[in-house]
Amino acid sequence: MRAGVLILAAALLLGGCGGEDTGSSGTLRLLVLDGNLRQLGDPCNGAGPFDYAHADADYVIEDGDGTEVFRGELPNGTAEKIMDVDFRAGLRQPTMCAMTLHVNGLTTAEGDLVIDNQDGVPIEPSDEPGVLGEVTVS
Amino acid sequence: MRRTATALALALALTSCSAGTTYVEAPPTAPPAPAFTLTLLDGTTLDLAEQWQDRPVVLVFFESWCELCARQQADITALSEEYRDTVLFVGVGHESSREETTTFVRDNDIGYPVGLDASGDVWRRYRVDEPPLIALVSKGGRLVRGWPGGTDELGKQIQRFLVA
Repeated sequence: MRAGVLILAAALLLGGCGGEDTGSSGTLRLLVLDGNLRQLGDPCNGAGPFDYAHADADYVIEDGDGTEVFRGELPNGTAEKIMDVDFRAGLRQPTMCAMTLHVNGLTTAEGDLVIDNQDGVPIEPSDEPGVLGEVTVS
Repeated sequence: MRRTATALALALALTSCSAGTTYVEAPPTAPPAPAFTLTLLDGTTLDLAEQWQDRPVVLVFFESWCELCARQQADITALSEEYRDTVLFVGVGHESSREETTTFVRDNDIGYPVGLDASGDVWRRYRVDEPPLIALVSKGGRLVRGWPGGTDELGKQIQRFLVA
């Protein structure tokens, strides 16, 4: 009985699927440099050749040995500036789609992000406060 | 003289009337809309070229997981009701599954035909890089206007380009 409770507790602790932030997660920024024309701040997903990077798409974090350490689903992104050019306010402009991922158990900016069985993209350290790592898809 | 010219221009711009509906003629520069057939969620097939011979068509390219699509959907649904007898609205998904699409249709009270372009062929021909994209096809089959990212002024645009 006691063993059963322990197994259940362990399963609950390790149940990281779905990208839920349970308090011990590291934050990653996924930047999809698709250059698609959007209004800044609009919800977005990867465009054109990057259309596999969309909300609800499965992703996996792999460590340096290629072992899966986390699995989740991408959220919607937000359109951000991709180049340092001032366009007229309200005008659609070339953007990137930035997504924020909360990865349970991630403590260092190492490993790869694999989206929808595509090639893995390395996680790089980020300078942004509160963001552990960054992944750039281009 | 000027008034006569204006009246003539107006007469030329308004192409045909049928049962009290006046359709706007497509500009001469508007290209033919790429024709396609679409398998709808109920398994039937819709021939778009056949449809736009009789009335204008609004193509709504979307995905079930697209937040911007969901934000704009209430207005599109309302307009599809308003123009129920004169303009055909058609939803075209691509990567969403049949189940996800069915849920999106139900959640957004969509009453117009919706189908899936699983191969992506139709999306490529209409240059849909990212949903939403709305395209207007005139009666007669000319592609008169398209909005990647959708538009907040669809009602106005329908009056300007499709039905006066």
